[in-house]
Amino acid sequence: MSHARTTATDLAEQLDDGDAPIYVLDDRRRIVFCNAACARWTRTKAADLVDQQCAYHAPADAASLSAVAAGLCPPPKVFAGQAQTALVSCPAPDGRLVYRRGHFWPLSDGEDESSPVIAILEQKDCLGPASETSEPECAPAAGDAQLHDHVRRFRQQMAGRFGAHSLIGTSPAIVRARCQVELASESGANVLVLGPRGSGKEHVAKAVHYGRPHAGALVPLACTLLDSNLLQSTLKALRLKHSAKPSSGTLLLNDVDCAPALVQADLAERLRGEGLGMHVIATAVKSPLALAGQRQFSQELACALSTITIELPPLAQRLEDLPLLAQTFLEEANATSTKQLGGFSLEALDQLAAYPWRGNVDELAVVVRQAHERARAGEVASRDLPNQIHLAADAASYPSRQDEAIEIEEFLAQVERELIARALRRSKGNKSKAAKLLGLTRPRLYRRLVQLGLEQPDGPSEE
Amino acid sequence: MNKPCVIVCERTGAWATALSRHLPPEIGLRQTRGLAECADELAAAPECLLAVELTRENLAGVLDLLSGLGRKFPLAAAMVLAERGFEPYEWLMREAGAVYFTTSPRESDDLARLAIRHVSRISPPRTHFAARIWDALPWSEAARS
Repeated sequence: MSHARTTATDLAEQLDDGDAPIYVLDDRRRIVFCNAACARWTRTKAADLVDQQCAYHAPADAASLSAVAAGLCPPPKVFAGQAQTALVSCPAPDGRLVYRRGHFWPLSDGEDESSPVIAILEQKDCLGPASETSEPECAPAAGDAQLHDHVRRFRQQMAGRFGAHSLIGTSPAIVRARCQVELASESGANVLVLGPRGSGKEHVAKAVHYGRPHAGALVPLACTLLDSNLLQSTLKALRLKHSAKPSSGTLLLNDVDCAPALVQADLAERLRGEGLGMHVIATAVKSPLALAGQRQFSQELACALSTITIELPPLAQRLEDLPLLAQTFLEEANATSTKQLGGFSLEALDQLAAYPWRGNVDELAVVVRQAHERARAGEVASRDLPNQIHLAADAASYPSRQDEAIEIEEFLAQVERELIARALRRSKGNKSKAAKLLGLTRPRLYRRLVQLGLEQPDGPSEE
Repeated sequence: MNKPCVIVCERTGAWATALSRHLPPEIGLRQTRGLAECADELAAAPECLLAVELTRENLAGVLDLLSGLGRKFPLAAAMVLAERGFEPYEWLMREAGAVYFTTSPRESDDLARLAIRHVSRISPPRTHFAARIWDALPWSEAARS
């Protein structure tokens, strides 16, 4: 026994002396050995990496130990018993990913259970698999590796863009929403985001998803656009995809209050019991619970979706956040343009604050981008704002007009007169044909013509 | 600003041909051959439904386009068209913001239904309800000039 331990220690020392990063995974995909070269390359301690589980997924956070372990994970075929060569990656100090070619050997055929794996990486970094301008320098399994790499980079980019920090503002409503997002991210509960159009509901939903520690895929479904058939076929495909991998990812039901009744029933059924195998986040303009109270939405689904409810106010009710939001959008535009603007003139900000913002934060983002395109000096001036802002400011300077009123009897008589006149013109004055077009009998049409003053009571009859 | 329409961005025109068979005439269809041209069309019709073909060459560009669409063009929506073999990219494209993903032109009737729903949800300009009733009366060609 003591001899065996000595041999294992000697082997470990030999492997530690080598320059090639080497690591070994057990049948549960946990790292059980990692040599000094591997620790150097991944900029971690070997002892910290040992026991980390390698999962072939794309974590949203780049720097955590689990993310480093995910970067070292061999292609899944290796665990099934096939030797493979593929790219692995680890994060560099500047956040970029660096790549090396790895050779992976399974230690069993992987038929009955996942095979342990030994991995030896080459000693030099190489190009990543998703280099757009050139073919991958070393990617024998380019298809899978390229997709895997795209997913990873995309998720990390999204995690940076959508955190609770990205909910800009200091108004009480938005501060509360930020706290709720953090709370929802920490829990696995279903979340409902309520707010008017353009208020950033989808942004908040993504902040909840990408803020979760092991956020997997996010699958948004547009309930306003997809009809019942398309929604149900997508849900079916989704269930097949996730049946093998429970609790991975989030289903985002956008505008769930517009979901057709059939889809509501289908979703309610799938969320019952073991559920979809995914977290569910829904957004809505109208509260599903309130709609359910009016029998316009499934009560069961409304309850299932509303475990945590985050409410977003219209922009017009949190105008104190407008300067900060406008500045954020301006700086986003700066980031993708050669034109660099410092901010807004006070007059421009006043005009922005006077606008009703029916399209909420989304509309502000569009307005600021248009103003950025027009601006010539170092800041956005009033003249750079789009016309709708100026028109709203002009309109505000006039007293509001009374609501237009109608006299219903007179209006309906006008509509009837117009329809009869059109029918007569269409039938070239033939009253029988006109009566048919209008769904009336000929005598009744005649009586109406007289009542409406279109014909004298004893007028000549045609035909 | 142009009326809501469908913009098809693809290499050959095959998807546009398949889609046009199912689209009602009142929904316009424009074609572009590259993402840059497509961005120009989007700027001219920010409420459109975009159908973009995914290829190995434009993968990163399509991801950028989709993930920035909501912020730049909040009223637009996008669906992704691709050859068979791109199925594994479906969920990534959806995550980036595609409302639909297909690898078969045989599903172009689904795409057309989606386009109709998209265009119909873009609200028409607000007019007084009496004017809307008047506009909705039949036999408009027989109206007084």
